[in-house]
This record gives sequence, C-alpha cells and structure tokens, in this order.
Amino acid sequence: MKPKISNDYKIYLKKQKIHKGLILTAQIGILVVFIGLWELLAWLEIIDTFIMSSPSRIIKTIGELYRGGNLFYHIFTTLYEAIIGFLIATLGGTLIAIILWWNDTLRRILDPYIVVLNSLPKIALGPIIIIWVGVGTSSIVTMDILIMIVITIISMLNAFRQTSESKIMLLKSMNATKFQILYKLILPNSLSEFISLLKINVGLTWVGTIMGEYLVSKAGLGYLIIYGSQIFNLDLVMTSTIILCILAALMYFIVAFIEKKVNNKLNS
Amino acid sequence: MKILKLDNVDLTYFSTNGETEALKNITFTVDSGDFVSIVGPSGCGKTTILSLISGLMKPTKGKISINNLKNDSSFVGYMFQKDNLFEWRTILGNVYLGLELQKRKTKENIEYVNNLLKKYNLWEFRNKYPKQLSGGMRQRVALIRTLALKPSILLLDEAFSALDYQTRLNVCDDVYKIIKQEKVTAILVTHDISEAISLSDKIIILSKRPATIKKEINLTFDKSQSPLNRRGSNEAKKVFDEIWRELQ
Repeated sequence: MKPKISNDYKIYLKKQKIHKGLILTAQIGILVVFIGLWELLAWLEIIDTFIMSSPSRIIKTIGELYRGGNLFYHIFTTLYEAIIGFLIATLGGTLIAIILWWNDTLRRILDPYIVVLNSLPKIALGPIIIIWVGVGTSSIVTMDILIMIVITIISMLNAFRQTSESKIMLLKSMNATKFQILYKLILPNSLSEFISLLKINVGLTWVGTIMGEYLVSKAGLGYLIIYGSQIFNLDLVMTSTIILCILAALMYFIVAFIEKKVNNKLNS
Repeated sequence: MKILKLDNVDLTYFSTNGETEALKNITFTVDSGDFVSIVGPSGCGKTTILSLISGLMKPTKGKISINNLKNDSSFVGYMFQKDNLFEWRTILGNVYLGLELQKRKTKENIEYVNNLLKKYNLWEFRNKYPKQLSGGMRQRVALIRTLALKPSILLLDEAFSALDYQTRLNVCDDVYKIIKQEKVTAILVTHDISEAISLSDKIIILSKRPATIKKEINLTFDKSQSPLNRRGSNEAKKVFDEIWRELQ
C-alpha cells in the first residue's frame, strides 16, 4: 500500500522539482550563452578569430581532422596513454601501500623519501625520463605514472592506517592471521577512500599525459596543442583543448557512476 | 569446577618514556558458568587483564591457565565497548565472520548460529546492514558473532558503556539471559558498580596502578532474578556501599 501523502508534502515535492529544474536550466544556459556569445563576437569581428578561434571554426577543424583520418588517431593515442597510466599508477600505488602497511619498519624507513618525492615537481624529471626511458609512448606513460603514484601511495596508506584499532583487536581475538586482517577488514574498510582516489587520479592522469606529450610526442591531443601553437594555428589548439575537455569529463562521469553504484550498495 | 586460573600474574609495559607496572600479583580463579566482574579506578589495568586472558598479550611474570571442559575449542570470546560490526557486511555476514576466519564455516556451525539469531529475535534482520539496526540490537549481534565460535570463556570489556542508559539496562538483561541460557562463563570489566552487582556471582576489586586485588566479594543473589530486579534489592545496596568504600 502506498503511504498517504498530505497536500503540503505534494507542494513541497513540487517546489523541490522546480528548484532542480532551475539548476539544470541554468547549467545548460551558461554553456549555450558562452558558445553563442563567442560565435557572435567572432562573427561581428569584435574578437580576432586568428587568436581566439570560434565555435564554427572549431567544428570545421574537427571535420578536417576527421576527413584527414587523424581525429581518432590522436584521440586514441592520448586516451590509451591516459588509461594505461591511470591503471598502473592506481593499482601499483595501492599495492605499494599494502606492502608498506604490512611492514611497518619498511614504512618508517621510506617515510622521508615518500615525503620528498611528493613535494618534488615531477615535471622536473622530464629530461631524465626522456634520456632513460626513451622517446615515445613509454616516456609519456612514465611521466603520467609519476604524477599519480606518490599521492596514491600516501592516500591509500593513510586509509589503511586509519582502520579502527578496536576492529583489528576483534579480528586478532578471533585468531585472524595478518593476511585475513588485510582482506577481511583493511581492504573493504578502505573502499570509499579508494573510490575518492579514483576520482582524483582520473583528473591527474590527464595532467600527466598532456605534460608527457608536451615533453615528447609524435601524436596525441597534447601534441596537437603544442604543434598548433608552434605554427600559430589557434583553431587546432582550441579544438584539441575542447576534445580534451569532453574526454576528461566523460572519464570522470564513468568513475562518478561507479562511485554511486558502490555507495548505493554500501548504504542500501 | 575451575575454568580459569591466574597465578601471580605481573605485567609491565615498556615504552621509550619508561616502564609502567600495570598489574602486580594478580591471582584469582573463575568457576565454570560463573559471571565475574572486575571493577577498579579508571586506568588501573582492568582491560589489560582481559587482554592477557584472551592471549592478545603475554604476562611479564606468572601463569594463566584455561581448563577446557566444553569442547575442542579453547577459544576465548571478546566483546568490546564498540560493537565493531562491519558496515559493509549484512548481519548474517557479520555473525559468520569468526567462522570464516577460523575456517569452521560448516553446515553444523551455520545452523547453530542461525538458531541463535532465531532464538534472540534477530533472524528477520539477517539481510539488513548494521546501520539499519538500533544500538541495542547491534550489541546483541556482536554477542552472537562471538558466541558463534562457542567460546569457553566470554570477555566483556565495558560492553554496554556505549549505549544510552535505558537501552543499556535492557541490553544488559538480554545479554545476561543469553549468557546464562548458553551456559557461558563470563568476565566483565566495568566502571559501573551497579552494573557489576546486578550481573555477577563474584566481583573482584582492583587497586590503583600497579593494580593488585584489593578484595573479592561473592554475591549470594537468587540466580533466577534478572539484573534489573537485582538492582533495587537491599543486598545490592549493601554491596554497593562495601565496594564504594574499597574504591575510595
């Protein structure tokens, strides 16, 4: 049986719905106004399209790239680097965090090194990476991994170590082995931190990949941006940036969707 | 029949700040099926005694022996102030935890645990998550999780302190009933003198640190009385005064 709904509650629900609609309308509105204004100002020649480009020129550039057969080649090059770097850094960093949780002496020995590595601007390692790893995709992925892995280790280790001492005592009182404490308690208990980390890394992986492509690349969206700026083709720069924006947003929404699914399961 | 014996047990903690004598010459025995409470000033080392009995810590000196009468397991169950239920597991998942850890999740043991849940009115909540249960129910789940392993001794460390007063009195009654029905030997650490009196067959009073046993009081209540009924009795008042004087 459906519970009875009072009239006041109906009005309340309606108000909430209107409010939600208002927010969505405003969100879409900002985008439409921004693009419209950009195009209009370009058309009226108030802004210089040679420097600022314009929405119609961006669409034209996408079309040219597509016809030249280059559009998806560049997109997939960057996407591939970003995803490989993301997976290796997230899983590898978590694995290292597990090892450091397991061996407290090792953790204390390595602690100052991790702190220093964390504060080091990774871009400074660029020339060294190129010389050691070589020119190519592997250099870009290495840069990408370096951007993410230290923060991954630090935040996962933090999550592991914050597990309630009293729950660990409970498992010990039940004669649990250290391995059991790890996979029955520490890992599931850190799941929500892991998901937040995915959200951070999904942003960082684009930083790492594009930075890597700026340093050394023959293809990819970062390459297009650098190449475009060198030949002063701002249409190409803007187009690549917009595509990058869309890709990053898509990947973020996928992770946000996973987060929602997991949270729903935890809170059901 | 003695189930537990502590013989001249000393415990000293070491840290970089120095060494702390926590327990000194602790000697007592617990009879099978009895409910024993340990009271004393806060920070005197009550919890340390439980850690020693459960084997989580080793004594610096002296001997602790557990006589195993019941079955094959010499398992000591431990209940904490916090119920420590795993939020990501259902109630059923939580009560099976110990069986999983000890690789004893047999058909027989599962049936035993399921029966406990049915007996103590938690069966219909078996697929819920801890968040959906009240504090009192959660503490009952925590108790069944411990009983699932058929402990020969059950240790209760301020097991009711995290609950509000009214829930606490009710849960105290429930837990007492379960412990007596399942014929478990129990040792409770508490700072609540009335609680100790209402539940125990014997109360052990500890001194300030380093803790020694100041006095043992045997209580002679009618065993069929519930803890709540005991609280109001004349004997309870008398014993309360006695313990109060010792603790001053």
